[in-house]
Amino acid sequence: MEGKVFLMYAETELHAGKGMDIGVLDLPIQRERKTKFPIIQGIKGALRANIDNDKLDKEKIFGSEPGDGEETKPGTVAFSEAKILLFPVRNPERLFIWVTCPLVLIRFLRNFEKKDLIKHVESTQISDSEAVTLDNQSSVWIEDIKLNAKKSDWLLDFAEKLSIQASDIDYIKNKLKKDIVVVNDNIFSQIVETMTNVIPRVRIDREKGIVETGALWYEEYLPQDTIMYFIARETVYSDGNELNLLENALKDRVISIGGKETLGKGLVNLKVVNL
Amino acid sequence: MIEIAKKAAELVAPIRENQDIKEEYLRTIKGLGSLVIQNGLAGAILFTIKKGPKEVVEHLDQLIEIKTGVSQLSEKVKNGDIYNQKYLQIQIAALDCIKWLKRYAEILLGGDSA
Repeated sequence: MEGKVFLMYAETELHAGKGMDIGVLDLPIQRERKTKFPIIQGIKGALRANIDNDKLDKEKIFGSEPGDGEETKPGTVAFSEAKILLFPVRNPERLFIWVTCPLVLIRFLRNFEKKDLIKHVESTQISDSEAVTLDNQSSVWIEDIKLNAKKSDWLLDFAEKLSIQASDIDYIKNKLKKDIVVVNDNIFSQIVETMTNVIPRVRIDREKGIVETGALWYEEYLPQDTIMYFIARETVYSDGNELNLLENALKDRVISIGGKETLGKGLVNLKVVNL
Repeated sequence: MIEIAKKAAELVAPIRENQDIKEEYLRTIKGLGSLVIQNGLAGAILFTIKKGPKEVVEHLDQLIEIKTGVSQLSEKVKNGDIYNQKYLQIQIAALDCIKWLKRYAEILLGGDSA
Protein backbone atom coordinates (compact mmCIF):
# COMPACT_ATOMS: atom_id res chain seq x y z
CA MET A 1 0.00 0.00 0.00
CA GLU A 2 1.25 3.48 -0.86
CA GLY A 3 -0.18 5.27 2.15
CA LYS A 4 -0.39 4.68 5.87
CA VAL A 5 -3.55 3.85 7.79
CA PHE A 6 -3.98 5.69 11.07
CA LEU A 7 -6.41 4.23 13.57
CA MET A 8 -8.28 6.67 15.81
CA TYR A 9 -9.54 5.24 19.12
CA ALA A 10 -11.97 7.62 20.82
CA GLU A 11 -10.83 8.27 24.39
CA THR A 12 -13.83 10.55 24.90
CA GLU A 13 -17.05 11.27 23.01
CA LEU A 14 -16.49 12.91 19.60
CA HIS A 15 -18.43 15.71 17.96
CA ALA A 16 -17.39 16.53 14.41
CA GLY A 17 -20.46 18.57 13.60
CA LYS A 18 -22.11 19.25 10.27
CA GLY A 19 -23.45 22.58 11.53
CA MET A 20 -27.09 23.48 11.96
CA ASP A 21 -29.58 20.88 10.80
CA ILE A 22 -33.31 20.58 10.36
CA GLY A 23 -33.56 16.98 11.57
CA VAL A 24 -34.52 15.75 15.03
CA LEU A 25 -31.20 16.96 16.50
CA ASP A 26 -29.95 20.54 16.40
CA LEU A 27 -26.23 19.76 16.10
CA PRO A 28 -25.76 16.38 14.43
CA ILE A 29 -22.44 14.73 13.57
CA GLN A 30 -21.07 14.45 10.03
CA ARG A 31 -22.22 11.45 8.02
CA GLU A 32 -21.90 10.05 4.52
CA ARG A 33 -25.02 11.12 2.70
CA LYS A 34 -25.76 7.76 1.06
CA THR A 35 -24.98 5.34 3.89
CA LYS A 36 -25.38 7.53 6.99
CA PHE A 37 -22.04 6.13 8.24
CA PRO A 38 -20.28 8.64 10.54
CA ILE A 39 -17.28 10.45 9.07
CA ILE A 40 -14.96 13.23 10.19
CA GLN A 41 -13.79 15.72 7.61
CA GLY A 42 -10.93 18.12 8.05
CA ILE A 43 -8.41 15.65 9.48
CA LYS A 44 -5.56 17.68 7.98
CA GLY A 45 -6.47 20.82 9.93
CA ALA A 46 -6.87 18.90 13.18
CA LEU A 47 -3.47 17.24 12.79
CA ARG A 48 -1.80 20.51 11.88
CA ALA A 49 -3.23 22.14 15.01
CA ASN A 50 -2.11 19.27 17.25
CA ILE A 51 1.53 18.93 16.20
CA ASP A 52 4.23 21.22 17.54
CA ASN A 53 6.56 22.88 15.05
CA ASP A 54 9.62 21.42 16.76
CA LYS A 55 8.27 17.88 16.20
CA LEU A 56 7.71 18.24 12.48
CA ASP A 57 8.25 20.65 9.58
CA LYS A 58 4.55 21.45 9.38
CA GLU A 59 4.75 23.61 6.27
CA LYS A 60 6.49 20.80 4.40
CA ILE A 61 3.91 18.19 5.41
CA PHE A 62 0.68 20.24 5.36
CA GLY A 63 1.61 23.09 3.01
CA SER A 64 1.63 26.79 3.81
CA GLU A 65 -0.97 28.28 6.12
CA PRO A 66 -3.89 29.80 4.23
CA GLY A 67 -3.99 33.58 4.13
CA ASP A 68 -0.25 34.27 4.42
CA GLY A 69 -0.46 36.65 1.48
CA GLU A 70 2.55 35.01 -0.12
CA GLU A 71 2.64 32.35 -2.79
CA THR A 72 1.18 29.19 -1.29
CA LYS A 73 3.11 25.93 -1.02
CA PRO A 74 1.31 22.61 -1.42
CA GLY A 75 1.57 19.91 1.19
CA THR A 76 3.48 16.71 0.64
CA VAL A 77 0.89 14.48 2.33
CA ALA A 78 -2.81 14.11 1.46
CA PHE A 79 -5.36 12.99 4.08
CA SER A 80 -8.64 11.15 3.65
CA GLU A 81 -11.67 11.87 5.78
CA ALA A 82 -11.90 9.67 8.88
CA LYS A 83 -14.22 6.71 8.35
CA ILE A 84 -15.97 4.47 10.83
CA LEU A 85 -14.49 1.02 11.53
CA LEU A 86 -16.04 -0.19 14.81
CA PHE A 87 -19.03 1.37 16.56
CA PRO A 88 -19.63 0.56 20.26
CA VAL A 89 -23.16 -0.32 21.40
CA ARG A 90 -24.69 -1.28 24.72
CA ASN A 91 -24.86 -5.02 25.42
CA PRO A 92 -26.48 -6.46 28.55
CA GLU A 93 -24.07 -9.40 28.79
CA ARG A 94 -20.76 -7.71 27.91
CA LEU A 95 -21.41 -4.07 28.83
CA PHE A 96 -20.66 -3.02 25.28
CA ILE A 97 -19.63 -4.63 22.01
CA TRP A 98 -18.30 -3.19 18.77
CA VAL A 99 -20.43 -3.47 15.64
CA THR A 100 -19.30 -3.24 12.05
CA CYS A 101 -20.53 -4.45 8.63
CA PRO A 102 -19.17 -5.96 5.40
CA LEU A 103 -19.02 -2.67 3.48
CA VAL A 104 -17.01 -0.98 6.23
CA LEU A 105 -14.65 -3.95 6.54
CA ILE A 106 -14.08 -4.22 2.80
CA ARG A 107 -13.30 -0.49 2.53
CA PHE A 108 -10.83 -0.83 5.41
CA LEU A 109 -9.18 -4.06 4.21
CA ARG A 110 -8.68 -2.74 0.66
CA ASN A 111 -6.05 -0.41 2.09
CA PHE A 112 -3.93 -3.45 2.99
CA GLU A 113 -4.71 -5.49 -0.14
CA LYS A 114 -6.05 -8.30 2.05
CA LYS A 115 -7.71 -10.10 -0.85
CA ASP A 116 -8.30 -13.40 0.95
CA LEU A 117 -9.92 -11.74 3.93
CA ILE A 118 -12.02 -9.54 1.64
CA LYS A 119 -13.24 -12.68 -0.18
CA HIS A 120 -14.33 -14.20 3.13
CA VAL A 121 -16.21 -11.03 4.06
CA GLU A 122 -17.85 -10.85 0.63
CA SER A 123 -19.00 -14.45 0.72
CA THR A 124 -20.59 -14.20 4.17
CA GLN A 125 -24.34 -13.76 3.90
CA ILE A 126 -25.86 -11.93 6.86
CA SER A 127 -29.64 -11.52 7.07
CA ASP A 128 -31.41 -8.74 9.00
CA SER A 129 -31.83 -11.10 11.95
CA GLU A 130 -28.24 -12.35 12.09
CA ALA A 131 -24.82 -11.23 13.30
CA VAL A 132 -21.40 -12.77 12.77
CA THR A 133 -19.63 -13.25 16.11
CA LEU A 134 -16.29 -14.35 17.50
CA ASP A 135 -17.55 -17.13 19.77
CA ASN A 136 -20.17 -19.85 19.87
CA GLN A 137 -23.00 -17.95 21.51
CA SER A 138 -26.45 -18.55 19.99
CA SER A 139 -27.58 -14.94 20.00
CA VAL A 140 -26.26 -11.45 20.57
CA TRP A 141 -27.98 -8.36 21.93
CA ILE A 142 -27.45 -4.98 20.32
CA GLU A 143 -29.16 -2.66 22.80
CA ASP A 144 -32.81 -3.83 22.58
CA ILE A 145 -32.33 -5.98 19.48
CA LYS A 146 -31.66 -9.72 19.69
CA LEU A 147 -29.90 -11.22 16.65
CA ASN A 148 -29.05 -14.83 15.88
CA ALA A 149 -25.30 -15.33 16.15
CA LYS A 150 -23.10 -17.32 13.79
CA LYS A 151 -19.37 -17.75 14.29
CA SER A 152 -16.84 -17.05 11.55
CA ASP A 153 -13.14 -17.84 11.61
CA TRP A 154 -12.23 -14.92 9.34
CA LEU A 155 -13.57 -12.50 11.94
CA LEU A 156 -11.30 -14.13 14.50
CA ASP A 157 -8.34 -13.57 12.19
CA PHE A 158 -9.30 -9.91 11.72
CA ALA A 159 -9.92 -9.28 15.43
CA GLU A 160 -6.59 -10.87 16.43
CA LYS A 161 -4.59 -8.72 14.02
CA LEU A 162 -6.46 -5.51 14.79
CA SER A 163 -6.43 -5.92 18.56
CA ILE A 164 -2.63 -6.14 18.73
CA GLN A 165 -2.28 -2.75 17.05
CA ALA A 166 -5.36 -0.84 18.11
CA SER A 167 -4.49 -0.19 21.73
CA ASP A 168 -1.65 -0.33 24.26
CA ILE A 169 -4.08 -1.38 26.96
CA ASP A 170 -4.34 -5.14 27.47
CA TYR A 171 -7.94 -4.89 28.66
CA ILE A 172 -9.00 -3.22 25.39
CA LYS A 173 -6.91 -5.64 23.32
CA ASN A 174 -8.58 -8.62 24.98
CA LYS A 175 -12.03 -7.11 24.62
CA LEU A 176 -11.44 -6.49 20.90
CA LYS A 177 -10.55 -10.18 20.49
CA LYS A 178 -13.94 -11.22 21.93
CA ASP A 179 -16.48 -8.49 21.41
CA ILE A 180 -16.70 -7.54 17.72
CA VAL A 181 -19.85 -8.48 15.78
CA VAL A 182 -20.68 -7.98 12.12
CA VAL A 183 -24.20 -7.13 11.00
CA ASN A 184 -25.37 -6.46 7.46
CA ASP A 185 -24.86 -3.04 5.89
CA ASN A 186 -28.47 -1.88 6.31
CA ILE A 187 -28.67 -2.83 9.97
CA PHE A 188 -25.31 -1.15 10.60
CA SER A 189 -26.55 2.05 8.96
CA GLN A 190 -29.62 1.96 11.22
CA ILE A 191 -27.48 1.32 14.30
CA VAL A 192 -25.07 4.21 13.68
CA GLU A 193 -28.01 6.51 13.02
CA THR A 194 -30.04 5.62 16.10
CA MET A 195 -27.50 4.60 18.76
CA THR A 196 -25.25 7.64 19.06
CA ASN A 197 -25.06 9.73 22.24
CA VAL A 198 -27.31 12.78 22.43
CA ILE A 199 -26.73 15.48 25.01
CA PRO A 200 -29.19 18.28 25.77
CA ARG A 201 -27.51 21.63 26.36
CA VAL A 202 -28.96 24.85 27.75
CA ARG A 203 -27.82 28.45 27.97
CA ILE A 204 -28.31 30.18 31.32
CA ASP A 205 -29.49 33.77 31.49
CA ARG A 206 -26.68 35.37 33.56
CA GLU A 207 -28.93 37.96 35.21
CA LYS A 208 -31.85 35.69 36.09
CA GLY A 209 -29.81 32.54 36.69
CA ILE A 210 -32.32 30.39 34.80
CA VAL A 211 -32.46 28.86 31.33
CA GLU A 212 -33.01 31.46 28.62
CA THR A 213 -36.24 31.04 26.67
CA GLY A 214 -35.63 28.87 23.65
CA ALA A 215 -32.03 28.15 24.67
CA LEU A 216 -32.30 24.36 24.70
CA TRP A 217 -30.57 22.35 22.02
CA TYR A 218 -29.51 18.76 21.38
CA GLU A 219 -25.98 17.77 20.35
CA GLU A 220 -25.00 14.41 18.89
CA TYR A 221 -21.76 12.61 19.76
CA LEU A 222 -19.98 9.46 18.66
CA PRO A 223 -19.54 7.36 21.80
CA GLN A 224 -16.26 6.85 23.61
CA ASP A 225 -14.51 3.67 22.30
CA THR A 226 -15.59 4.37 18.71
CA ILE A 227 -12.80 3.28 16.35
CA MET A 228 -12.27 5.21 13.11
CA TYR A 229 -9.41 5.43 10.63
CA PHE A 230 -7.96 7.74 8.02
CA ILE A 231 -5.38 7.29 5.30
CA ALA A 232 -2.38 9.51 4.67
CA ARG A 233 -0.71 9.39 1.25
CA GLU A 234 2.26 11.24 -0.16
CA THR A 235 1.49 13.71 -2.93
CA VAL A 236 3.56 14.33 -6.07
CA TYR A 237 5.44 17.04 -4.14
CA SER A 238 6.79 14.49 -1.69
CA ASP A 239 10.48 13.50 -1.35
CA GLY A 240 9.37 10.03 -0.33
CA ASN A 241 10.05 10.26 3.41
CA GLU A 242 7.28 12.51 4.70
CA LEU A 243 4.96 9.68 5.72
CA ASN A 244 7.63 8.27 8.02
CA LEU A 245 8.18 11.70 9.56
CA LEU A 246 4.43 12.07 10.05
CA GLU A 247 4.15 8.62 11.58
CA ASN A 248 6.91 9.39 14.07
CA ALA A 249 5.24 12.67 15.02
CA LEU A 250 1.76 11.16 15.41
CA LYS A 251 1.95 7.54 16.50
CA ASP A 252 0.68 6.82 20.01
CA ARG A 253 -0.30 10.47 20.41
CA VAL A 254 -3.61 11.57 21.91
CA ILE A 255 -4.91 14.50 19.91
CA SER A 256 -8.05 16.59 19.88
CA ILE A 257 -10.40 16.38 16.92
CA GLY A 258 -13.78 17.91 16.22
CA GLY A 259 -15.62 20.35 18.45
CA LYS A 260 -16.39 20.81 22.16
CA GLU A 261 -12.75 20.42 23.19
CA THR A 262 -13.18 22.56 26.30
CA LEU A 263 -16.08 20.33 27.38
CA GLY A 264 -13.62 17.44 27.47
CA LYS A 265 -14.69 15.95 24.15
CA GLY A 266 -12.82 14.95 21.02
CA LEU A 267 -9.75 13.09 22.33
CA VAL A 268 -8.51 10.26 20.11
CA ASN A 269 -5.51 7.99 20.40
CA LEU A 270 -3.63 7.52 17.12
CA LYS A 271 -1.98 4.31 15.98
CA VAL A 272 -0.50 3.34 12.63
CA VAL A 273 -1.84 -0.08 11.62
CA ASN A 274 -0.69 -2.62 9.07
CA LEU A 275 -2.74 -5.81 8.96
CA MET B 1 -41.98 12.01 1.97
CA ILE B 2 -44.29 14.71 0.69
CA GLU B 3 -47.25 12.70 1.98
CA ILE B 4 -45.63 12.56 5.43
CA ALA B 5 -44.92 16.31 5.40
CA LYS B 6 -48.47 17.12 4.31
CA LYS B 7 -49.99 14.92 6.98
CA ALA B 8 -47.67 16.36 9.65
CA ALA B 9 -48.80 19.88 8.74
CA GLU B 10 -52.46 18.82 8.91
CA LEU B 11 -52.00 17.23 12.32
CA VAL B 12 -50.01 20.06 13.92
CA ALA B 13 -52.11 22.98 12.63
CA PRO B 14 -55.10 22.48 14.99
CA ILE B 15 -52.76 22.38 18.02
CA ARG B 16 -52.16 26.09 17.41
CA GLU B 17 -55.67 26.82 18.66
CA ASN B 18 -55.38 24.51 21.69
CA GLN B 19 -53.78 26.75 24.34
CA ASP B 20 -53.93 23.96 26.96
CA ILE B 21 -51.38 21.74 25.22
CA LYS B 22 -49.63 24.00 22.71
CA GLU B 23 -46.48 24.62 24.81
CA GLU B 24 -46.28 21.05 26.06
CA TYR B 25 -46.76 19.63 22.57
CA LEU B 26 -43.92 21.76 21.22
CA ARG B 27 -41.60 20.96 24.12
CA THR B 28 -42.30 17.23 23.84
CA ILE B 29 -41.88 17.01 20.08
CA LYS B 30 -38.60 18.97 20.23
CA GLY B 31 -37.08 16.46 22.63
CA LEU B 32 -38.66 13.31 21.23
CA GLY B 33 -35.95 12.58 18.64
CA SER B 34 -33.28 12.76 21.33
CA LEU B 35 -35.42 10.53 23.57
CA VAL B 36 -35.68 7.89 20.81
CA ILE B 37 -31.93 7.90 20.12
CA GLN B 38 -31.02 7.71 23.80
CA ASN B 39 -33.64 5.18 24.92
CA GLY B 40 -34.90 3.37 21.84
CA LEU B 41 -38.27 3.85 20.19
CA ALA B 42 -40.23 1.56 22.51
CA GLY B 43 -38.95 3.28 25.64
CA ALA B 44 -39.55 6.73 24.17
CA ILE B 45 -43.13 5.86 23.17
CA LEU B 46 -43.98 4.37 26.57
CA PHE B 47 -42.54 7.44 28.31
CA THR B 48 -44.53 9.78 26.08
CA ILE B 49 -47.76 7.80 26.59
CA LYS B 50 -47.29 8.26 30.34
CA LYS B 51 -46.12 11.85 30.22
CA GLY B 52 -48.31 13.18 27.39
CA PRO B 53 -49.65 15.06 25.67
CA LYS B 54 -51.53 12.19 24.04
CA GLU B 55 -51.70 14.09 20.74
CA VAL B 56 -47.94 13.57 20.20
CA VAL B 57 -48.29 9.78 20.31
CA GLU B 58 -51.47 9.86 18.20
CA HIS B 59 -49.78 11.96 15.54
CA LEU B 60 -46.68 9.77 15.53
CA ASP B 61 -48.85 6.66 15.13
CA GLN B 62 -50.57 8.14 12.09
CA LEU B 63 -47.35 9.16 10.37
CA ILE B 64 -45.64 5.83 11.08
CA GLU B 65 -48.60 4.02 9.56
CA ILE B 66 -48.23 6.05 6.36
CA LYS B 67 -44.48 5.47 6.22
CA THR B 68 -44.27 1.79 7.23
CA GLY B 69 -47.77 0.33 7.02
CA VAL B 70 -47.61 -0.52 10.75
CA SER B 71 -50.82 0.74 12.35
CA GLN B 72 -51.31 1.77 15.99
CA LEU B 73 -47.63 1.35 16.85
CA SER B 74 -48.07 2.77 20.34
CA GLU B 75 -50.69 0.10 21.14
CA LYS B 76 -48.34 -2.59 19.83
CA VAL B 77 -45.52 -1.21 21.99
CA LYS B 78 -47.86 -1.11 25.01
CA ASN B 79 -48.73 -4.76 24.42
CA GLY B 80 -45.14 -5.77 23.77
CA ASP B 81 -46.08 -6.70 20.21
CA ILE B 82 -43.26 -5.32 18.07
CA TYR B 83 -41.35 -7.34 15.57
CA ASN B 84 -37.69 -7.77 16.43
CA GLN B 85 -36.25 -7.59 12.92
CA LYS B 86 -38.36 -4.62 11.90
CA TYR B 87 -37.69 -2.65 15.06
CA LEU B 88 -34.67 -0.72 13.79
CA GLN B 89 -36.40 -0.02 10.49
CA ILE B 90 -39.47 1.36 12.29
CA GLN B 91 -37.21 3.38 14.58
CA ILE B 92 -35.56 5.07 11.58
CA ALA B 93 -39.01 5.75 10.09
CA ALA B 94 -40.18 7.18 13.41
CA LEU B 95 -37.24 9.59 13.51
CA ASP B 96 -38.17 10.84 10.06
CA CYS B 97 -41.79 11.31 11.17
CA ILE B 98 -40.68 13.16 14.32
CA LYS B 99 -38.52 15.41 12.15
CA TRP B 100 -41.58 16.55 10.19
CA LEU B 101 -43.74 17.00 13.29
CA LYS B 102 -40.95 19.03 14.90
CA ARG B 103 -40.52 21.22 11.83
CA TYR B 104 -44.21 22.07 11.64
CA ALA B 105 -44.51 22.49 15.40
CA GLU B 106 -41.66 25.01 15.40
CA ILE B 107 -43.20 26.93 12.53
CA LEU B 108 -46.86 26.75 13.54
CA LEU B 109 -46.62 26.76 17.34
CA GLY B 110 -43.87 29.30 17.89
CA GLY B 111 -40.60 27.42 18.16
CA ASP B 112 -39.21 29.16 21.23
CA SER B 113 -40.12 26.72 23.94
CA ALA B 114 -37.26 25.45 26.07
